[in-house]
Amino acid sequence: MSEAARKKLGERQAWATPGGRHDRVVGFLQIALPSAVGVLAAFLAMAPLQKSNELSFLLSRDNVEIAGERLRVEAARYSGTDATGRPFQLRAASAVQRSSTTPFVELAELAAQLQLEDGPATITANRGRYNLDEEAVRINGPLAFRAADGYRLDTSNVFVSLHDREMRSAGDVTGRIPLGAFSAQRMRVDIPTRTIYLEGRARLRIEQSQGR
Amino acid sequence: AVPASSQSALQSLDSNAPVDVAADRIEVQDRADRAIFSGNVQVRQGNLSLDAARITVAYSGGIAGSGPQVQRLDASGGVHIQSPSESARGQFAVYDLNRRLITLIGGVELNQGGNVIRGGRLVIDLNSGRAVIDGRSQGGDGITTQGNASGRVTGRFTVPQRNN
Repeated sequence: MSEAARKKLGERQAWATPGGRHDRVVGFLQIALPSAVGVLAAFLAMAPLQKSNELSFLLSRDNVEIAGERLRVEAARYSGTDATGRPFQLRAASAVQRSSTTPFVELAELAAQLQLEDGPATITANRGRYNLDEEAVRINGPLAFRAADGYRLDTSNVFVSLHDREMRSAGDVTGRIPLGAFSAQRMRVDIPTRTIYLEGRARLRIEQSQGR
Repeated sequence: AVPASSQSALQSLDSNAPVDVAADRIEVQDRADRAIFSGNVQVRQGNLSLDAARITVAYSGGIAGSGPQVQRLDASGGVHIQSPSESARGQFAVYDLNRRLITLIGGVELNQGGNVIRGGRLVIDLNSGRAVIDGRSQGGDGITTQGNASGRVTGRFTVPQRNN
């Protein structure tokens, strides 16, 4: 064997002789490891009883992002049947229900479709508040009523009952029907028969066509 | 001197002119092409003004996009017709816009330039501008009223002062 080989063999024999570095390490681990297991076991046994590390937290309400309304619907659609059992449909670009206590839904860009005897009729408006229980819309702003045969009624700020197929004005009202432009303090429209009742300083201006 | 002209100023009235109506209550029955006005009704068209307790307007068109056309006005209950040249009172009036005739019946009193004429029926022909009163108390389409018993026409004319 070469000098280097003998020297290397000597180092490895020295490392392996009893009482050498390896024996000391093994001897230490023989004591350290079982005691570490014991300590850990003791810690795990005691852990649930200690108060300090309660890992619960309270979801604080103030810095969480809260939605203002109870329900927001995009492209909402409500349908129901009117007094005579005919279906009606109310569509809106957006519908917001402020709170669960009141059955009101704020509608934007709404369009109601009613089935009348002589075909469908539509009511369109920019803003309205739909009462879910009464199936009626309080329109604020202009409203356009169009019937199948071209009949047109334009007015604003009226209460439309889809169930009773009726419109009522809350107060002063102005508008236009085929016969002309009207204004009054109160108005009621029976949609199926297209009868318009105006009361209180009622005015009607009939612009005639020149065909006579 | 007051020119006692029988020519009515309503001759120039355009029956196609807009009709403005004011009333306490208006009921427009589109399916029946009819509008009922009640409660001190005031109708204005051009230089004609017609007041009554109750007026029914029959019209046509409106939906076909060509615009409405009033065919006829039926007035009842203290009818008072006013125009720049005369004023007349009666119980019933019919204004036929197609034939341009205003017929007033029922205790008619016509006041024209200071002359007061009473009779059973007054017909104002808007085409000729002539106002004709006669004793018959029968309306154009059969509406009869009691008129004055003798069926005669009475009048009181004011004679212009002759200063010669």
